[in-house]
Parts: sequence; C-alpha cells; structure tokens
Amino acid sequence: MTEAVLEVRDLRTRFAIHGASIEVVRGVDLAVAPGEVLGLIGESGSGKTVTGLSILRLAPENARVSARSIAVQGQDLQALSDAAFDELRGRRLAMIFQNPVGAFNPAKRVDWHLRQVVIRRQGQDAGWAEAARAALIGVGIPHPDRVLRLYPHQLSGGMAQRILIAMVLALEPDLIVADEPTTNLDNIVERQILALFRRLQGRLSAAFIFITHDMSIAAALCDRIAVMYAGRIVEVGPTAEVFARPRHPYTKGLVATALALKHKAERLKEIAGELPNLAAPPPGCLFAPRCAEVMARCRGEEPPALGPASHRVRCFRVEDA
Amino acid sequence: MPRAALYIAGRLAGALATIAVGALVVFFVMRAASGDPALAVLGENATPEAVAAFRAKHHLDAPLVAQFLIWLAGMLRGDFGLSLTIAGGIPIAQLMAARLPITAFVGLYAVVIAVLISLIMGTIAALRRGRAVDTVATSVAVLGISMPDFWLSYVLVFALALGWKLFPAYGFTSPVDSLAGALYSGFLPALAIAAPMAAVFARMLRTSLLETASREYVVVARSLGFSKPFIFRQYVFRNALIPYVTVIGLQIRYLLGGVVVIERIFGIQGLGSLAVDAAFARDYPTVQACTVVFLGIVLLVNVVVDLVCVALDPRRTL
Ligand SMILES: Nc1ncnc2c1ncn2[C@@H]1O[C@H](COP(=O)(O)OP(=O)(O)O)[C@@H](O)[C@H]1O
Ligand code: SF4
Ligand SMILES: [Mg+2]
Repeated sequence: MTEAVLEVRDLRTRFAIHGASIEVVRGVDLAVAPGEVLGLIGESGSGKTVTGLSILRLAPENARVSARSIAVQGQDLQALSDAAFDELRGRRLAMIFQNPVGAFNPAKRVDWHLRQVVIRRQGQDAGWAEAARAALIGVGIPHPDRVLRLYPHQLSGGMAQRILIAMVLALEPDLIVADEPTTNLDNIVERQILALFRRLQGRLSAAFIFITHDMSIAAALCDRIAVMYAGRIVEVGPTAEVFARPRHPYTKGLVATALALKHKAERLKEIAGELPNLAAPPPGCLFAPRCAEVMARCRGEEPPALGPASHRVRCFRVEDA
Repeated sequence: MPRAALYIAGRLAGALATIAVGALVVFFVMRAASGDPALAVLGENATPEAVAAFRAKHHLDAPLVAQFLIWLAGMLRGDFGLSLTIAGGIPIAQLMAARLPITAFVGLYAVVIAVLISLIMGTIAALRRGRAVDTVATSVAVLGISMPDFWLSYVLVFALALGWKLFPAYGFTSPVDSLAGALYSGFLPALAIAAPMAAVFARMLRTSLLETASREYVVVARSLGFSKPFIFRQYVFRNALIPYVTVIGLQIRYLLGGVVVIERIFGIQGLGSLAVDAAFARDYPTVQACTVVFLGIVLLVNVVVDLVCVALDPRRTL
C-alpha cells in the first residue's frame, strides 16, 4: 500500500467550559491515501469540524488536542513547532470552510486575496494577475476580471465558495479538508459546487477529507466513508459497501434516511433521539440510548473497532454476524 | 470622482443648514438671556441718547428676526460683526482669525498624542490580553476616562512644569511664530486634553482588536499559511481600525470642551479663551460668533472622519 497522505491515530480534543472538561473528539483514527476522497459524515455536533481543525492545529484557544500520532506523508506533525506548522499550512494541509462569505478579509478585494496566495506559494507576486485569472477560470468563473475587483461583501455565497476553493487549489496542497462547503448555499448553487468538486477530483492529485452531514453527497463524491458519532468513528469502509451494507445501527439509520429522501417518501425515517451529553457520557456504547439493536452488554462496555481492516465498525453486533 | 464630490457637497450643504439652525438657537437664547444688549453693555444708568446711538450702530432697532437674518447673511460673507467690549469696534472675524490657528494647533496636537498613545497601549493590551501589562494598561485607562481634564492639568503642571521644570506651566507660543516653540509649550495642555481621550481610544482599540482576532477570516487566513505578523497587520489590525476611527469621530465634540477649559488653565490665547473672555465681558456678538465657529469645526471634523471611515470600510458607501 502507498504511504498515506494523512494518518491520524487516537486524536482527542477536549474543551474547557465553565471549569468542566468535555472531550468532543474521542479517539479518532483516520487514514487518507493519495488522491482519495474520504467522507467524514455525521449529524451536527458529532465533532467533524473540531476533528478537521485539530488536525490543522487550528482548534479554538480553549481546546486541548492530543493524539498518538498525526502524520502527513510519514512526517509527525506533533513534533513541529508552531512556526514550522505555519509553513506547512496551505501548502501541504489546507481547509475549505463552511461559511465562505465570512472567510475573506472584508477590507480587501478578491484580487488582493489571490495575490497573497500567489505570494504564499512562490514567495513573490510575479505573474500573480495571470495566475489569479487562471485560478478563477479553473473553478468555473468565466469572467474573472470583473470578479477580481469585487469586495467580499459583494460576493454571493456560491461565488465566495468558488473563490475560496480556487485559493486553496492555487496553493496545491497535498490534503484538503473540506468542511461542509455547500451547507450554507442554496440547492442550485450547492449542486453546482458539488459538480465542481467532482470535476476537480479527476484532475487533482490532492487527497480530500470531505465533511458533510448529507449521506447522499458523501455517496456521490467519496471513495470511502467514515461515520462519526459523538466524537468517535463508528464505521469506516468503501462507499459502495457502507451504502449497500451498513453495519453500524447508526449508519443504517443514516442510509435509510438518505434513501427515504431520495424516493421522496412521505415520512422521513429520522433516527430518534439526540447526541449524548459528553460532559457526562453514558457508560458503554455512546449510541446505546438511541440504538434499536441495543443489548445488555452494550450498556456496560464500549465496543472496540471490529471487522476487517477495510471495513471497521464499533458495534458488538458485528461480532455476532 | 463625481460621486465623492457630490457626496462632500451634500454633506457640506447639510453642515451649513445645521450651522444655520445652531446660529438661530444661539441667537435667540443669547437674546433671551441677556435682555437688551445696549443696557447690558452700557449699564443700567446709560443716557437715552447713548442707548439710542448704540442701538442704531448695532442694528438693534430692527425686528429680532430681521436682526438674525442680517447677522446670518453677514456670517455667510465672513462678516461676524463688531466686537462690543473686549475689543470694542474691531471685527470679530479678525479676532477669531488670530486665534483659530492656535486652537486648531492645540486640538490637533491633542488628537495626535491621543492617537499615538492609544495605538500603542491598545495594541499592547490586546496582544498581552489577561497578562500584567494588559491589566495595568486597562486600569490606567479606566483612571484616564474618569479623570476630568482640568484635574490632570494641575497634576501635570505640578509634576512636569513646577517640579521637574521640563515644560512651561503657563503661556503658549503660537505655531505661527515658532512651530518648535508651539510643540514645546503646547505639550502639557495637549497632553491634558489627550489623556482622557487616549484612554477611551485605547479601550476601543483593544476591544476591537480582540473582536476581529476571533473572526472566522482569521482562522481561514491561518489555514492558508499566512504568517502571524501578516495576519495581525492585514486582517486583525486593519479591520479593527474601522470602529476605532468611528469612536475618534464621536469624541471630537468632547475635545472642544476640553480645549476651552485647558486654554484658560494654561493661558493660551485661543478661540476657547476668546469665547470665555467675551462671555465675562458681555460681548454677545463675539460669544455668538465663537459658538457658531465651534459648531462649524465639529461638523467639518465629522465629515472628515466619515470620509476616513468610508475609505477604510468598503462596506460603507458614500
Ligand atoms: N470553541 C468551542 N468551545 C466549546 N465547545 C465547542 C467549541 N467548538 C465546538 N464545540 C463543541 O464540540 C462539539 C463538536 O462540534 P463540531 O465539531 O463543530 O461538530 P460538527 O462539525 O460535527 O457539527 C459540539 O458539541 C460543540 O458544541
Ligand atoms: S454496540 Fe450495541 S448499542 Fe452500540 S450500536 Fe452496537 S448494538 Fe447498538
Ligand atoms: Mg461542523
């Protein structure tokens, strides 16, 4: 197997809130191969964004991040100083954010942003205007000159997200964490941006972690899917397999919901209940309070990752099968 | 830029209208307060002939509204009338012209000092948030805000002028005569006016820096690998300037109040002391003229501050 672009082992992130310490990322393992798109999926609040930010060492100030290892192309990131990490960001690890409109410097035009990106990549701004135009055309902006002169507040959400994607791609990073890049956009624009991602996927060598709470988006874009629940990866495997034969009861619920949506079923089959309070997590399996297949044992012990290496599941039911 | 020119013209027209209304208020309030200017100036025992002559000379026989319009029309031509008592018979415009550069200098000097102090203190406090420097700076700022100008002036005079003899305690060299002399002799008064303003500005800058530093665009800039100093300058500081400049604009009104008091304390022959002297000497036209000029200065500065805000903030348009 080729070396993973990113390999994360036992990532944990705690927040100190009102004296209490809450672990919202609870031992995440992830590996992304070159050129691969890994979908990170889970309901809102399950810890997807914090996972992405923690990998890039961008978690909020009140967060404490630890891991057994976080390695990019075999290099251990935890050994790096903050200054060395700054060097790495953008060029090797980059992130695309959920709220594109708030991602720009409100005092500066689009051309300023692209110029800074060119300087970041090559140390000087020679040829930046040409590079900026090419970058925008590459993300489907047909008349870049007009757009380059706009201020951020004059951009639509879809336009802002395209530009942000162009900025990240211009840096040619090895791994891009895309955090729900279409969630804040309306349906038509969302489809356009997803089409853009699909188009880019074939052309780019970058690996992606594509964060979403939408199973159908993950199914359309990703090579593999990691399902996150309450700070843990509860199931990870190839997209087709996870979709056709979900093994964790939570994944089954997500897939059923996505299928119901697709067939425009009258009533959505949502998973009843909500995420556990991680300030006082229930003993045993964190999904037990909502699980339709819960057993006595589930309330006593936490299930380890079970099943073949290509398709891991944190559920005791997998042992029985 | 015809649009900018149009905007400025509009703002100036608005300012003129405001000045006219202000002048109206000043005129009638002064009249109501002082009764018959002739009697007020000449005294209760003046002969009827003297009173009649005085009234004729100063157009006091016309109806009040006509008097107001004559006065207003005169001001539009730059004619503010004649001083009554403090410099009897001399055009008020001439009196003010001699003093305007002095007041403008002291005011500007104070603003420059306040901006410099607050930029340094506010930035340090924000960068060292929660540490000792921040706590000290913030406490000093609270002290500065709650301190009246004149109290600080006395402290400064005692310490820097009388104690260490670093600066003169009294008197002022006009910048028209010597810029260096004006900078030297104006330092204590400007500092006394600047200190409370600097405290307000510094607090605003600190708050605003911390607020912009927590914005999402800063995380995005970091995710692109931009350097920390670059992000501080171009993202955090640059955007924090917008509310900072707005606050400076709002404080300018209080600045003029400070100038009036400080000019008296330090014996500076500016517009502020002219107004106060005129008031004591019952020189009503001079008081009116000074008040109108003060109003004009405030309005003008507001236009300038607004233009700076528009230049800083692309979301604001003319
Ligand atoms: N700055 C923070 N301080 C405290 N708690 C936070 C902070 N950011 C996120 N959290 C908590 O961490 C958990 C995971 O959040 P997040 O990663 O944003 O979820 P997701 O992206 O999956 O919707 C949530 O419970 C959220 O409330
Ligand atoms: S371990 Fe038990 S409770 Fe948890 S998901 Fe599996 S069956 Fe449900
Ligand atoms: Mg999120």
